[in-house]
Amino acid sequence: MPAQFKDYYTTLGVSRDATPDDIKKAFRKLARQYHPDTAKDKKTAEEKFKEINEANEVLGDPEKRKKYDTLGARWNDAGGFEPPPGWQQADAGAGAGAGGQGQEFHFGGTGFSDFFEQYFSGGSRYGFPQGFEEETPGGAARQGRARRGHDIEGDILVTLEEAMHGTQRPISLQTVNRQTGAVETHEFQVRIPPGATDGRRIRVPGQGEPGRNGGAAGDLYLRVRHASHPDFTTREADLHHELDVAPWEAVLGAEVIVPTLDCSIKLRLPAGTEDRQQLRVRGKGLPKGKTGERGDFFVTINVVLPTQVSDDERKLWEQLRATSTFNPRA
Amino acid sequence: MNETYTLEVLAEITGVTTQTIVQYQEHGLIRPEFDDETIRALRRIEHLRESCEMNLAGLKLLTGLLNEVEQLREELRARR
Repeated sequence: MPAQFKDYYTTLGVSRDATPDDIKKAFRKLARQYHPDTAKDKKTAEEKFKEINEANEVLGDPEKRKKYDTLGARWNDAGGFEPPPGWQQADAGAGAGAGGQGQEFHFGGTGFSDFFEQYFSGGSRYGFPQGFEEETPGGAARQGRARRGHDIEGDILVTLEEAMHGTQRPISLQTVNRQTGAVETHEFQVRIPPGATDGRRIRVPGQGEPGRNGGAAGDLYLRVRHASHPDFTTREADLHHELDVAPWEAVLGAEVIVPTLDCSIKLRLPAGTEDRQQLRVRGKGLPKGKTGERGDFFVTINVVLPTQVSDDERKLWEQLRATSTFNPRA
Repeated sequence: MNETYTLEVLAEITGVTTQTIVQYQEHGLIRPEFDDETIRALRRIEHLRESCEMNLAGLKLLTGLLNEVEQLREELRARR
């Protein structure tokens, strides 16, 4: 049974032919509006924030977007959503739900919907696409041998605040026992350590597929996916921020209050700061380990020019034009 | 940060002998530090060896390629 279709275009409020830039802008605007830190109604905002992150995760990635468009071409047909004929989950690099063959598994509490997990999550066994099974020609002879269950992989959405301080998350994993056919649900807590970087896998021992003939259960690997933040992006343990500045702040230098994940800092812009210049503040990124060491905070300067000027301002710009010897095309 | 394991503990968890782990390490199939990523890598290697009857040369080639694909995907994601 395919999971309920998600209309990611509607979630982000963009048309189906939106450019990558349109998607980026729409996402940023919504992320700012619904970020749990800034929204008024935190509970509703949190759900909405997860939804827009998921939509961005798919539409913001050209490869995933293409797959989504193929997958969803007929989603509005009568009779509900069915993947198009010939749709192969292996192509999506997805594994959650084996499409009627073999084992199905299903996560809860990862921050992603069933639809995402079924088609777009990194969920798979051993990091291989589904269908990469070990049914070798000699397999029949090995029947009855105790065999360890498969490892299962999936994605978990982690906010930067969670990545900063670490947290515990309740996760549920539903699997179908291959031998008995019974649906088994396991619930457990997963510890997200402080400084969990994007892409890092968290191993949960023994929570993968059950073993066969008395074999041990496989492990569960949850790959951390940082939720996009309206103000920051991450690269390993480093935190990146874009700071809009006025031309005179860049030319004359300035002191600007800049937010970081856990405090605000006073950033001194040196005189003659250039557009796109990067300033580094050491030790204000994500934690790097148990040592207390932290990544760095990078601020990229974005010089913004005024588009509307008052009469007084215009006079000053004119005065500057008359006096200045600066020639950008020299 | 990831918890690290000794060679012996890693062998116990994965069921791969210490000699084989050292051999994999010498051939660059797994990283010198043993953590949860190493466990995942070892399980993947063993899976390829047993199910696909792959030899060491094949394992080196395929794990190298799989790692590169993963790195490139992460790089692409970070640039978005």
